[in-house]
Amino acid sequence: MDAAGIQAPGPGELREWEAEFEAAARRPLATRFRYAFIHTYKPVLDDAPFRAFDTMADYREWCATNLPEWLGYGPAV
Amino acid sequence: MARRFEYAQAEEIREAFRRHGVRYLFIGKSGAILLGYPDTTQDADVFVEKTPENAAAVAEALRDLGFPLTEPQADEVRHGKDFVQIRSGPFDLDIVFAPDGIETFNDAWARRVEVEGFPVCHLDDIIASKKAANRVKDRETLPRLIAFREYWLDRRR
Repeated sequence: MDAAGIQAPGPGELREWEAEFEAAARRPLATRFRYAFIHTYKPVLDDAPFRAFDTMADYREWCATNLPEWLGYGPAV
Repeated sequence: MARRFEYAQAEEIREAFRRHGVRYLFIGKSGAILLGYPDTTQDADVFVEKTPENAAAVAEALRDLGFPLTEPQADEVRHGKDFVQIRSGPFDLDIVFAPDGIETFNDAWARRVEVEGFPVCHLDDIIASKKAANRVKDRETLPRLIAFREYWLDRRR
């Protein structure tokens, strides 16, 4: 774990990730896009056509208050 | 419901923003994906310079791209609200005027990486932004993104 509390991967996990990075590097950008961008409905978040927040703090607070916890937009403890 | 974001739409953003003179950078996971990071995401995130001229250009470019902004919505973009989320257009788009963890647009611009003509935040800025945002989903992403940074820097040497 680093100073910011980010968990370091184990050697096996790191090797697996590096293989994924290598595989991605061999794909053209347009193909990477096709694999990367998906569309899944996110409750509440996707229910309004437009939202604007004066500050990022306002946005974070709105997320923490209004979005289902399982979406992961709330603050990490 | 918006269609998923496609490469052709990223090209449309690039061209529309160029026509309107928008200063912007791809940021977030969409930026990391442009840099080669293999992962999935739903929307495109762009960091735009917070000046009145640039914000006005963004509003015009969005309409050009097919985002049906009402006049009050366009005004919110023109006023440079820190975060604007649009779900009514041809794809989902988040516009960030003041991302967490990055001091100024010019700082990020100086460190940017160009990928096929797309201006992208440096991975260090993307990581700094996710660390500062400190959401649950960011914390889950960061170990793999940080590992990718090492791989990506090695490839660039």
